[in-house]
Amino acid sequence: MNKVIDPQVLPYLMAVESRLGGMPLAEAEEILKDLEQHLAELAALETEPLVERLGPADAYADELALSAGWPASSLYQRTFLGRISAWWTRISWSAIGRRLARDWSEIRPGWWIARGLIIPFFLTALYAGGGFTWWVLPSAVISVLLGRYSATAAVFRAGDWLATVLTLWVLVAGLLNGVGIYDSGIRNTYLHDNPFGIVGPSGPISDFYAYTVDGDPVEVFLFDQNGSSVQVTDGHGNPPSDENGFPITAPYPIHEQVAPPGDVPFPDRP
Amino acid sequence: MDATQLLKGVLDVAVMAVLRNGDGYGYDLLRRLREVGLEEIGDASVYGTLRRLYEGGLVSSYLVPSEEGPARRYYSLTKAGRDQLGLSIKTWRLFVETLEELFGKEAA
Repeated sequence: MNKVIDPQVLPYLMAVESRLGGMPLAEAEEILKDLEQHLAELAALETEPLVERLGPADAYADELALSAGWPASSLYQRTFLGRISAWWTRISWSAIGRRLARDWSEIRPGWWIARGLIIPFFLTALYAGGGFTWWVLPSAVISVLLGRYSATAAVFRAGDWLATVLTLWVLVAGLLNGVGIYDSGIRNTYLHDNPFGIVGPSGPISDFYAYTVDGDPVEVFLFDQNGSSVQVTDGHGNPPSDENGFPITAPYPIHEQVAPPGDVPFPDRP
Repeated sequence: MDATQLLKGVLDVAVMAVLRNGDGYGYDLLRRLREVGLEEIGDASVYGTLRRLYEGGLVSSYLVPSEEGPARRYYSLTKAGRDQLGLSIKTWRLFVETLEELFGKEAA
């Protein structure tokens, strides 16, 4: 059964941790994890305040480091990595950090499943044109196994990290390439920068009508200076689609049009 | 002479000797050490020593639920710890005999 930790434990622990800030993160976390329990035991047994019972936290930290076989914490070089390590430890052991860690431990199984689905989904969408991929299920199972047993063996731990890094990578790649991954044909278009597509003076542009200089209507493919196909929307943020729901990308005009809409004066030929 | 400095060199042996008489948690071990006269030992020294002995495989630990507060981590000597304690006690006695002999000669 969990017991309420004496409120004076955490501040004292934090002060000790601060003194040990230059220690390698793994060692610091290990020490602090057990030390919290040790201090909680003391606080529960003693009526005297911890700081009076144990003395200043800095002195306690130095004595602890010496007796545990490490150099006195005051002798640690505060390197850049040491400072980052100290900050990370401090955040990890803050009330918010520990609350997040506790919450995270509860939702981790969900994350294992999610990344197991995300990786094949995004990889397929990004590099194989999208669609259902058969390895979604085995991927999810492997992801859960890696997460579940990551604490038991180095090979699982490495796999767990690899899966996490791969997930973040495909997410970033997916965002950079556009989230319209159901249809690779609409990648590299303006929809990614602006969900309403190209906006004209009267709102989103839903079609283009091209004419020769002689005023004859023509069908055209439009590309911008980067080679990306120019994509319009249906006016509601969606790519135009045919009667079967499939996106229509080109050529323009998308809708049948035999004459310029309205009385449009053609510019003089140069 | 400052007994604290002397004690630092034999704190491992003292902690293991206390554990030989029965498992105990950090504060309990500190109390038992003080009861035998080692008043100057600090809590951090005992805790740090336990950590080092634990990492060296000389002591093991286990949690025992407590009604008064958080679960307590009890420590116990391992087989390696008992062997090491035996060797350390022999070394210590030889050291004391040598010094006693030296002190005796000096006094004479």
